[in-house]
Amino acid sequence: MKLFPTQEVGSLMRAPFLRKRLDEIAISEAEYWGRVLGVEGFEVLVDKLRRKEYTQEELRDWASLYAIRLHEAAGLDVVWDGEQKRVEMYEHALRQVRGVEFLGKVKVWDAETYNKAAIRSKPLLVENSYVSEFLFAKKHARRELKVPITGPYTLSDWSFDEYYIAKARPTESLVEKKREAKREMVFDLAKEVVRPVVLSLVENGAYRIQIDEPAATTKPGEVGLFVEAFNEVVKGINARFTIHICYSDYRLLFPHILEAKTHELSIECANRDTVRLGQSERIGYEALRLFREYSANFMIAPGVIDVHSDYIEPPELVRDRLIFAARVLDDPSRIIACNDCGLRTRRWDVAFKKEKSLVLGASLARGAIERS
Amino acid sequence: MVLEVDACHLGGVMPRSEELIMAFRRLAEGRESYDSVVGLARREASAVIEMQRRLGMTYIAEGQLLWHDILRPFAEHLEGVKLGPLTRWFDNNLFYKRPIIVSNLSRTTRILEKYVFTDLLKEINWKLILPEPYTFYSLSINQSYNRWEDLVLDFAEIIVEELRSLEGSGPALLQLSAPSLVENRLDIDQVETVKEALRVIKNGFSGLLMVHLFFHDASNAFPWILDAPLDIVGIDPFSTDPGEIRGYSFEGALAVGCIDARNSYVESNEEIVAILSSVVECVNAKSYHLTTNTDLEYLPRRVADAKVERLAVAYRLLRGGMS
Repeated sequence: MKLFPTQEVGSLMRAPFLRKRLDEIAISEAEYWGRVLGVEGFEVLVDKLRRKEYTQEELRDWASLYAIRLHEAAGLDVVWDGEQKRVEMYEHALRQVRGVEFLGKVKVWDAETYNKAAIRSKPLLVENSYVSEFLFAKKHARRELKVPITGPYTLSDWSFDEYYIAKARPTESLVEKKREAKREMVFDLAKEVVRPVVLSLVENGAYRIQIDEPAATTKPGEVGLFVEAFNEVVKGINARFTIHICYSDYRLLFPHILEAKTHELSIECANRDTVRLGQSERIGYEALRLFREYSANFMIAPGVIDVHSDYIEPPELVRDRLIFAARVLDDPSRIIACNDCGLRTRRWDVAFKKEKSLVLGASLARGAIERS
Repeated sequence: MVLEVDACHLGGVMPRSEELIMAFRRLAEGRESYDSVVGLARREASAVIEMQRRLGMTYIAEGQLLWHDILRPFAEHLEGVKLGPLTRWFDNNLFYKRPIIVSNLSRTTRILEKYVFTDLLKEINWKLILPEPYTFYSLSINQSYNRWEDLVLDFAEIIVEELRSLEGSGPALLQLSAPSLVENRLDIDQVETVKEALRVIKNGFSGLLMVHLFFHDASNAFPWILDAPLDIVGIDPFSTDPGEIRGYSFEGALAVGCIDARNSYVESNEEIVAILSSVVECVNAKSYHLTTNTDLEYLPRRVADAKVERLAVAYRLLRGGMS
């Protein structure tokens, strides 16, 4: 297997023609990106946009195709469609579940919010857009695909609980009652929602599946629960799994994460690193020492591209980050080159340059290791 | 057992409505003026106040709708502090901007008057919520003070100066939100500094002083918190097993957060009474207050309103002598 294989993490900003205002600028961008990325038949889309003869479903298919081509044109080994057909990672997942009701916006910070749902009865997957989304991508992709899905712990932690807490057995301690309710909620989401999605994808040919769990370390006492739920999701399924956790205190994962039946763990590092070149000291990658110390046996995908900045990391910086990570783990074959997280907040021109830099930097690192 | 409660008040700030959230977003994008956002926030604050008056709450919270987070007014306006990175607010999917202390703290402007609609609170027994000084310190990045104790005490002085700046329109009740006091057990030196900071505030403030302990087990601050110069200690029974604080006595009021402000499930009157009873059985206080376990900003506004209403209904029932 080649050293430092490259992959993305999931989301991309919506394609220009999915914006609310579909004006001439957006149409020109559709034409520009169609040409730059070599999207087959993009002229048909542009013509439809100009004549205003399209359906939203058609546009979402085109967006999916454009995003796949963006990742492929950048040269990534493993690609996805940038979640062009999804609202966002939480709401998209729970919109397909019975027993869930969205209650309204809650603050995440300042003016940033998300639409938060309450679990009101036992959750049950009643729609599954993931399969058609995957089959479309599979039909068009020229590289291997990795499908991102939000994990059960995060779905639970980001939701209100109006069902389990109400039916939990009365105890003197609300703390204990909450603990029992949370455990049951997480496991129901694992068994009744996330696992059926994963099974359906694998039955339809998906092999690489990424379980997104950004909430994994939110409650330090529940990291073990997150791992148990992940294992419940993937139990006995023949696929290659990645867990993605970002903007977290990775120390809190230990020792529980060692029990996770995952092949890869994707974490954010670039955001906490400096942009100085150098392979002897990289503050953003210090967390990797824990994985070596605990002899973690899965591959690590440390983010070498910061998704919260328009700064385009030079390939040499990507190279240095990868080589440093390889030295910390004492094994370059265990490192995957990827972004910190999805590139949803970056413009396509920025995202494209960042992904190209990722690929070039991985190539430089590969060359340096092979020469040494 | 007859449960008697003396007072009822919110245990934290209120959430913004979706309309106000969108106005703040437009402001951030440069599509709305600050004055216009303040105007909308003022109308909402007025409604929040009126709701609590109608419901018969003992102390009325203004909602603190202009505050992005509880530390922000100080992080933005104190000399010696600059805004730092987004940081998780304890174990929530909520983030605050971490204050970075770059030089010793000082006040050059009246901060609270920029953030609280005091003109809406005339002749009202109102409640203000501020960060407890040790909590402020522990949530900041200290790049200046050689002794962290000095930072804690300086922040206590800042609180006193701010309260004085409100002159005749100050709050009747000051709640210091203090999750950092219970995240872990503090050592004896830390405890003494916390108590000293509370003493500074108590001596400089004529109203009632409350410390609210939430998100973690209140027993981490027992029994020393009961000896601190406080009128009210608040606890979060959703994070504290009452059995862990059994047998303690308190000469002040114990505020029991019987409403879980982090979950949309609206507790029934019976559940509220059961929660209160479980605490009253364990801690012998001079009196008891009914409150929420923390801020209500984890909820969409209409859910928060429903929870406030339930709190007030339970209070009325308890005041009626419900046993």
